[in-house]
Amino acid sequence: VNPNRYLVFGFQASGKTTFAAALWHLVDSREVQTALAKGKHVGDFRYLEEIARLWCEGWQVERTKMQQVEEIKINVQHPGSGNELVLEFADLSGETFEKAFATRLCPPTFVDLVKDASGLLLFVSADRFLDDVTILDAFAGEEAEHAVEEDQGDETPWDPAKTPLQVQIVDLLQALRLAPFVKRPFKVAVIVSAWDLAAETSGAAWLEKKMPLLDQYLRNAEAAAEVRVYGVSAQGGQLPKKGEPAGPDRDRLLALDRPSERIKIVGTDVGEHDLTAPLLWLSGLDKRT
Amino acid sequence: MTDQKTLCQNAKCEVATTGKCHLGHDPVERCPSYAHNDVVPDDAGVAAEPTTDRLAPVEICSGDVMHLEDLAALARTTPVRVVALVGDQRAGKTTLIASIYAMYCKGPFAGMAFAGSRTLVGFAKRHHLALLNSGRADPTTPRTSRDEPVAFFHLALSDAVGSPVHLVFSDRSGEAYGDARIVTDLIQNLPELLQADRVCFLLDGAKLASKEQRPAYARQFKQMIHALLDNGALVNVKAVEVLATKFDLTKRGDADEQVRYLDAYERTLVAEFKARGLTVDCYRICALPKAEQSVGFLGLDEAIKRWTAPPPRPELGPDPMADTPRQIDRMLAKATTGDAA
Repeated sequence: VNPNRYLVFGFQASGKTTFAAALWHLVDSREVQTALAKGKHVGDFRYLEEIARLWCEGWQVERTKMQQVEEIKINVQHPGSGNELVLEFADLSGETFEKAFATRLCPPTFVDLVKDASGLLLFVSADRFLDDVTILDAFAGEEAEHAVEEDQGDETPWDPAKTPLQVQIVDLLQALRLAPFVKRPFKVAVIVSAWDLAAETSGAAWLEKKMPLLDQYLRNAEAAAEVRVYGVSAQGGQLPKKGEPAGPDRDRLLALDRPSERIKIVGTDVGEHDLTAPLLWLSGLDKRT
Repeated sequence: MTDQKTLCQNAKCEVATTGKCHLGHDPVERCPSYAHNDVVPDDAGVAAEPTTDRLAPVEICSGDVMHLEDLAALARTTPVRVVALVGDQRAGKTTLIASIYAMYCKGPFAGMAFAGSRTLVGFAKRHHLALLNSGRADPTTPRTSRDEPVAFFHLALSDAVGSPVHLVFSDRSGEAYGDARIVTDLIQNLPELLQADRVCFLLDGAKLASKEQRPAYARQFKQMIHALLDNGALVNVKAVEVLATKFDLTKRGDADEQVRYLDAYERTLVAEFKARGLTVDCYRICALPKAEQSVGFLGLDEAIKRWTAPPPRPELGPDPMADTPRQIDRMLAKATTGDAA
């Protein structure tokens, strides 16, 4: 296990790539103070530069390559301890997770990444389609006269893609505890992205209300050694895809002199714009001063 | 014969054909991506893909229902409490299981929080027709085919104090139980009963509410319990329950008459089996209140509380001694047995 290697876990459109882009701009620009500062500029930053450019220009950051795994390495320094370390992320495409749930197969790369990771960045988005509403919830108060008759069953096949997202996430997190992963409990930083749309006071409150099965699992199962939940708006508002008309927030965000101030994060021990806080906590360096 | 080239690790680099490094290294040997001896056939066409991506995908746990061997494996590592659900077809066995899962999808329930499940995919498959995104207007549960072997659903529940309780529910087609009731040799094909700590007989509220179906069904329901009792299928069982399902149907139409009949039938069941030395407890549930929503989800929380309750502690004191010569022992025996005579 690499002590500074984290697995980025999240389905499609959960905000993983935008987080990476904003993080890179944040530490590279040095516009605001962060818990982890940028270290030496040594490495291959093509992917980070590509997505950070989109972020800076005020466009939605979309995954441009369809590789299953994007390796991200950032040299950082912890000012408190003087430690220098390389943060490594394995940014898997959301499609990898969706296919794993549906087919029960995953690429061997994923197995290696899980085994090597010391912590997990779990992404869920507050900008989500409600996929777990039951028919009874939807029609509460309406009497269903026709339903009194014994129905004859329905053989409409199960569609894995329609399984509520929180169930899919919990299922795959549990799979990490079993073969072929057999992962020991590790720290989990939950990132609730698109936080500007969440309308909740804290990430933990959002998770409890919007994804209660996942919330219960993280708090009660042995899979997670420790859990923290962060609300993150990595782009600061609603942005259009490149080339599309400006949305409600683009002009406002572009007007900021320091683009790093677009970033908002809430959670335990975080600065207002400091995306490095979850990584500092995952690394355990926050306990060393 | 295959024509081969030395390739750069960089997919965009055409050094193999142009001699120029994509990143401008000159000489090209300075490029860290150059001169790796990854030699692939021309016709492979996937030079940019990492080698590992071409390897066969790896299978992960199914997440689907468990079978007997899976239950045995789980029980070897974790103490489990097996609840066998027995009932005719459409009595509501699968609906009960799906509804319990659905309750935990909404948050802690019955004083317990979700702490994991080996069978989340199995649960999701049983519940998908109750979701709005199924496109249905009324919720239902997929039928369990008689061709399917007995299935087990796992649910780890935590009260945040002790270790999680691992509940396991068995489910199989009602036809299999109906067949075993009529041809009792088939009872030996119901191994879930020997695994069970608790057997719940599901009394179909819809059939009991129908005056046409009621007479035969009421007789056959008792016959099922007698059949299992007479053929030794309940020897390992610590508790037997009767769960009257679909209580929302019982509350429709002539509700008073139906509830009166159910009351009387439950009393008959308790007395009849008590006479045979079997304690039967009766409860009412509504796991899918679609006919009478005012009934709501009924009896599920009490059921979970019963099934997850701590087992009674064993008596650690000495057994009372009979005909003991010492007076102190005779007094102790009287106090223990409550014999004041």
